[in-house]
Amino acid sequence: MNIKHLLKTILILLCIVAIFAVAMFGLNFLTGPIIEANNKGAEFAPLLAVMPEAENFEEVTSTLAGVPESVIAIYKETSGKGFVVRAKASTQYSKEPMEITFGITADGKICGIQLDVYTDSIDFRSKDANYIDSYLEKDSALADIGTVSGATYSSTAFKGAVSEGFAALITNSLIAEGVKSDAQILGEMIPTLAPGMLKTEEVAVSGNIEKAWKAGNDAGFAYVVKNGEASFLALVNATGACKVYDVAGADVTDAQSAIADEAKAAASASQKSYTEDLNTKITRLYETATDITPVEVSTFNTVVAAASFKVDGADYYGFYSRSIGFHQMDVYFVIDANGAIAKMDAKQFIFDEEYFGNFGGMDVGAYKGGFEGLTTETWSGEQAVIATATMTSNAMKQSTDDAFAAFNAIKGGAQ
Amino acid sequence: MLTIEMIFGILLAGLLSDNYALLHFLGTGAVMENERSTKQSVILGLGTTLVMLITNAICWPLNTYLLEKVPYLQTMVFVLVILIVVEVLHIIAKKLLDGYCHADFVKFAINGAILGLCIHNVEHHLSYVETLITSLGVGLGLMITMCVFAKLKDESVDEEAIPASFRGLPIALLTAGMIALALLALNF
Amino acid sequence: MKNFFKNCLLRGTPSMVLALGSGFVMASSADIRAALGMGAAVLISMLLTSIVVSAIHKFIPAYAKLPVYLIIITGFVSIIQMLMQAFFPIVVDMLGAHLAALAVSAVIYRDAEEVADHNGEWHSIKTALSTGLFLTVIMVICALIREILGNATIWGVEIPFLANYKVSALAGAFGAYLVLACVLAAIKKLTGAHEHLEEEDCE
Repeated sequence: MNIKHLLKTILILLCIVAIFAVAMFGLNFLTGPIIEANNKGAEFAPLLAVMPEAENFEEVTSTLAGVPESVIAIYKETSGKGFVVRAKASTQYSKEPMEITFGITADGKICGIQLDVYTDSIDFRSKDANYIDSYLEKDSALADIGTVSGATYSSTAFKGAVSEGFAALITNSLIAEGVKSDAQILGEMIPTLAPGMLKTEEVAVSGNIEKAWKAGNDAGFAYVVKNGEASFLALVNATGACKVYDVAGADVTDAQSAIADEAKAAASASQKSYTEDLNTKITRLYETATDITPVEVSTFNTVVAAASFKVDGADYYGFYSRSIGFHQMDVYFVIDANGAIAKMDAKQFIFDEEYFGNFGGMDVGAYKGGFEGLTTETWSGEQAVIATATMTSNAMKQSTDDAFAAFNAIKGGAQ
Repeated sequence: MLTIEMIFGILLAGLLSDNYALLHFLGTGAVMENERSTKQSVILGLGTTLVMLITNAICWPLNTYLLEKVPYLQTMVFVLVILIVVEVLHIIAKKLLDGYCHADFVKFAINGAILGLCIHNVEHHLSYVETLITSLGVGLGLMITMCVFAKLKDESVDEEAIPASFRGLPIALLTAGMIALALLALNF
Repeated sequence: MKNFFKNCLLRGTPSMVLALGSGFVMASSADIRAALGMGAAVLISMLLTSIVVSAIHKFIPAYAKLPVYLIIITGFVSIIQMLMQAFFPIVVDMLGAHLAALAVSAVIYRDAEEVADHNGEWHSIKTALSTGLFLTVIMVICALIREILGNATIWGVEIPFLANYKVSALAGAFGAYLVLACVLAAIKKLTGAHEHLEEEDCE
């Protein structure tokens, strides 16, 4: 192919390309808008499902300030009917985050909600078929929305994602904030004030108690108690300690001792006691243990029982922590008077379901031994890591932290 | 960042579990009507791999920076790029590999797999490096598939053993189907 | 005319065409809508290319034929692609890259180079029509078998009584090979075109 041929070929090609390009440019005026509308239609189909009366949507995510990471996108209904939020949430049981689409009307109420992606091992829709629909007509306060028993983590995450969607709209003053009742505000304080109360579920109430929650890991109870006009949150842990908080989150235990007493009475009636369990464990670990005395701890974590005892004259403290890994974990710690872990034991570390048979096994003796001698200074969390068992590792970390916290609380109280 | 495992994963996917000619039906025609010897198939396959690498190396920036406003020109531009690359390679190869390069290289190299790969890569928003690795894997996969078919044709198949209606293309399709079935198993 | 269709539709179309086009035939035979869409795209792009090529082939020097014809095909395919994206987006979704890959499909190129390049418009149109129709018919037959038996749907609508008996392998890649091979064998058997009649030209 010589240069002349090459040039001629290129010339012909250019002509043809130009003709087609002009034709396509012209055609684009016809097809371009339709293609765009088609693409939009596909994009907006899930939005229309939660807001059927909407005319058109416009994505406004990037124009809003302080949109939380869990919010994927926010769409504005162009005729002012409201907003549609797409949000995601995940739990330790999620293979992929769940994805939620919900519509919020201009007056701040949920007009439609659906779960688009959901891969958690437990399906809360099968536990409570009406749970998702219970969000309809609710404002940002999400009053009376609890969690699904048996799928607490998943439903809590679901609720959290919806709340964050609302929060994004409220911080940008697009909708008005729903008014929360005192009981609701107090109820939402539980996870921060009593982080050891896992998988809380509402239980029946009596007397001045407005609302009551029981921890799924038996780490205690939470009550909303009325005293005259005001409501208070009373927390009782498994060892019998009680604290009372007002709506502002301030500790008012001393001022509201009547409430504390009522809460303690209510809790002691239904609290499962782990003192016997712990005693048995201590006598198994130390055959010569004497003077085993249950101790009340003022921490509201996963420690459900604590006891002091003596071995050959030396002081020891035993702690029983119930954290949640893949399943309920039962972990025991013995801490000596100097604050070092003397022994650690657990009913079971590895649950077959977590690993689907892929788990190669672990040296349980070495793992337990790795805890011995740890103090709050040398404990970094790394010692609890079990390769390939994230959930169990995290639960072990929490239990260890909590045991140290409980020990320090006892020590601090004694000084 | 790309790890060694990811690179090998992409390469292996192109070779086996994501084989274009057998499982994506792109370039199937070129493989099916391949009448060349195994040796020629290897050369053609390597040539096609080179074309894939170069076209993708050119098409990726073109698509990313130029075609955003005019998506309807995408096919046209990609085909032009392929044409130019193939022609240039052909001219170079004629000089370097006299006797090994065949005139039908140009015709062969313009097959669905190359264009399909360019479109696949831009549609899946692969990064530049991923695009190049994918091209290499897919090209080598195409070469191996061609060799397998060329080899199968070399072996004297007992035509008499095949029912008359199935001779020719149908039995070739069934053979390809069997290989595809084996490759599909790698996807699970 | 009757003879023409008999020749071209039943046995005249060279098996070469199917070997070259087996890629997009199999890719679009999983769903009847895809098969019809692809059939229409092949038919129209082939027809238009044939017309244009047979009209201008005298002005194109031999050394420029390959790139010029390819670009003409690409242009028509792009236009069809735009129209389908606008009016049949679901088909474009199903076909994906295969629709664009038609631009470099050897079937259309071969038609342009070997038929339209040497013959007048009328002959080229006839050949393009017959080849396109033949491919469409094959695709639709395969799609009927694969969609109904493999997916238990027809035109995307579920067939309730078949839902529990579907053979999902038919909807996958292996099914494409299997069904196309069987359909071709059946056509061969029915038309008695066992030996090398395929390479005959039409008419």
